[in-house]
Amino acid sequence: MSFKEIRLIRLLIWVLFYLVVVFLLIYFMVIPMVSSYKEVHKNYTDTVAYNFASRKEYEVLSTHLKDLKAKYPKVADFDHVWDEKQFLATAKKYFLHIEMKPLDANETDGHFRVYQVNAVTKMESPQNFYRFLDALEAVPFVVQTDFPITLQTYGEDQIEGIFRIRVFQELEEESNRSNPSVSNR
Amino acid sequence: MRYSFNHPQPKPKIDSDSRVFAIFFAVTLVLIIGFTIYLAIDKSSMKKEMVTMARQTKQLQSESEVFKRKIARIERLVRKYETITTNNTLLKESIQNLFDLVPDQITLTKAVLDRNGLILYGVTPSKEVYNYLLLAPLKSIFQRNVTTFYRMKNGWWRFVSVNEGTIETGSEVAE
Repeated sequence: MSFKEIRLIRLLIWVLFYLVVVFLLIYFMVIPMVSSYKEVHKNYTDTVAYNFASRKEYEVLSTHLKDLKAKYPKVADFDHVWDEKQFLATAKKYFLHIEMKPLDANETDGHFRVYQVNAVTKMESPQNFYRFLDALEAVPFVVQTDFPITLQTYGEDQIEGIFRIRVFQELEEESNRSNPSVSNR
Repeated sequence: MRYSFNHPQPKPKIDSDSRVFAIFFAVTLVLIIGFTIYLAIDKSSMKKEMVTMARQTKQLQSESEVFKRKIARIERLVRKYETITTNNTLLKESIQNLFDLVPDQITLTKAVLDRNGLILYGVTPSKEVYNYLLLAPLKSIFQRNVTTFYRMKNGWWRFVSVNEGTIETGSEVAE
């Protein structure tokens, strides 16, 4: 056997060894790793998409909530506890005299506690009553004027107005239900 | 005695072909193992990130639920508040309309508005004035009208007008 032939055979053995080792590495190491990587990557993509959708929903809801609070600040008045003195301070601007007689403090209406009060007032003209009704939006309570309403002459030039006032306050359990404690992110 | 000018060199353990091939083999091994290690590191990093993101997603969803409940509550309160405001406005308009109905010739002394009707007490110079100027518009609003007159010393008439029918104020607050 010549040196040339020996060299060729040695080269062939090297190539064969190289191919076998590379094949084994690819078959037992690279292929399982790539397939598991692809699976993890797919899960990762799904998780990213889900996270993105959740974040988007969170941001939309957060913005919507902020907008609602800014647009309807008056809804905060449903939390205010009825304070007759505070209400009288506003009502006195429109009447010569006003007196409140509590009727029912334990009535509930769906999600609300309703305080019923009878207001006995003296005024110069019905215009005072209209202005009072317009001013109800400014008081820090949610107040509805209700029947029965009696308007009658009082003395020479005054009107006595007797009407019912219903003050709505949200029941505490309802407001707490929408504010459960949330751990900080 | 020397036969050559070259000094004898020791025979290399690995011949040149084998050296080239070994380097090529080593480079291939490094590339394959390096690629695998890169995939393993990237996979591990993705897994860690997935755990963090899953926790964050759960937190976001929990907060979104809170927001949804708050929004539902505010929308419910807004509906209620708008109903109350509308009722107050309608009530005011009802009273304004009532006083607009009363002509200058007739003087009201008392008005009682209830959900089911209206009772008016007043003074009129004659029954005809009352019938033409006040009863007619009242009839168009209320289903039933009963009026009682009492003659006064000065010739005028005191009247009590009971009008039955629903006053449209929407007093019942809808949820």
